[in-house]
Amino acid sequence: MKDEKLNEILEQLGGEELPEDMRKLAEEISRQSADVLNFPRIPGFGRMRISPFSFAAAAAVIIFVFTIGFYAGKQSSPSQFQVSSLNSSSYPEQYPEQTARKQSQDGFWRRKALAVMQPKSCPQIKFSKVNILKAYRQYLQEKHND
Amino acid sequence: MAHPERVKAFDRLRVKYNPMMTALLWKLTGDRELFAEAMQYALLGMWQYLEKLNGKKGSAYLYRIILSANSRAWRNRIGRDGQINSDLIAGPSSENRNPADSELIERVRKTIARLPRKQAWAIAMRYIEQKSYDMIAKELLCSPTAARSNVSKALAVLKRKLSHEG
Repeated sequence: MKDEKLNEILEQLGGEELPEDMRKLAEEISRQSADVLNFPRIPGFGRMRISPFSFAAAAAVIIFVFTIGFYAGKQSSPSQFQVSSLNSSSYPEQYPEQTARKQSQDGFWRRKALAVMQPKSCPQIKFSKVNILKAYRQYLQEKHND
Repeated sequence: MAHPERVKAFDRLRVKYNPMMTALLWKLTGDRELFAEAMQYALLGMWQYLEKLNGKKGSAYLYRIILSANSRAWRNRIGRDGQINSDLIAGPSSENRNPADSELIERVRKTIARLPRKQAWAIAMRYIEQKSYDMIAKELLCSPTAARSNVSKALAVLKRKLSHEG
């Protein structure tokens, strides 16, 4: 592009008048921005400060609650239904029957709810590594024969 | 600065600089949508750098804010590929112009928006606002020689960019 042409274009840009509708638009945008910034804030929210005393009190409460929880958890008895299903060779055969005595005096829905909660008896399944290996060897043999 | 004082200071500056900001942004954008977007960015910048605008270098900061707002608006318009959709350029000022000239002017505007800040600054003050070198030096807190040097460098870069793109 020639220097003269560029200078001419820059002069044209410099001499361009602002249209009236653009002036109004700019005023509108400017006014809107002022309105947004003047929007009332929640009183005291920006100036909210935590004093050292409140901070120490909150920390003390948290530590106290944590300590109580820790000791309560430590002293509580372990659950009777601890089933380590992955390590045990079989499921427990019998669970304590807690509800047998009460069933006669309970209502229909209570009995239903208790029945749902009662653990279902499962057939005894025994796994042993030897059996699984034998079955796998047999499977391989059959596959080979096919 | 507390919020109420900040709002008052912003209102004062807004009223003071609004005509100058509006005129400059219109000349740099030439398009209604771009202009509105740039205007919003400029007002946001004013709010963000209110303390600096009240200081000694207030005028220099204002130019910085305006030119950043212009660049940002153009960047949003141009997009990632650097190509502008010609359908979007439909400023009222280009209606009575030769289409070739309009296209050229838009190219110049786009290139100014993509210039480094200091060079865009020099072009805007010298050619768009048509200020003398002494005034530029006064506003930018530098010597007239430095102002002249900045303007000539900026013009050379603008020319090179335009010929490279064209």
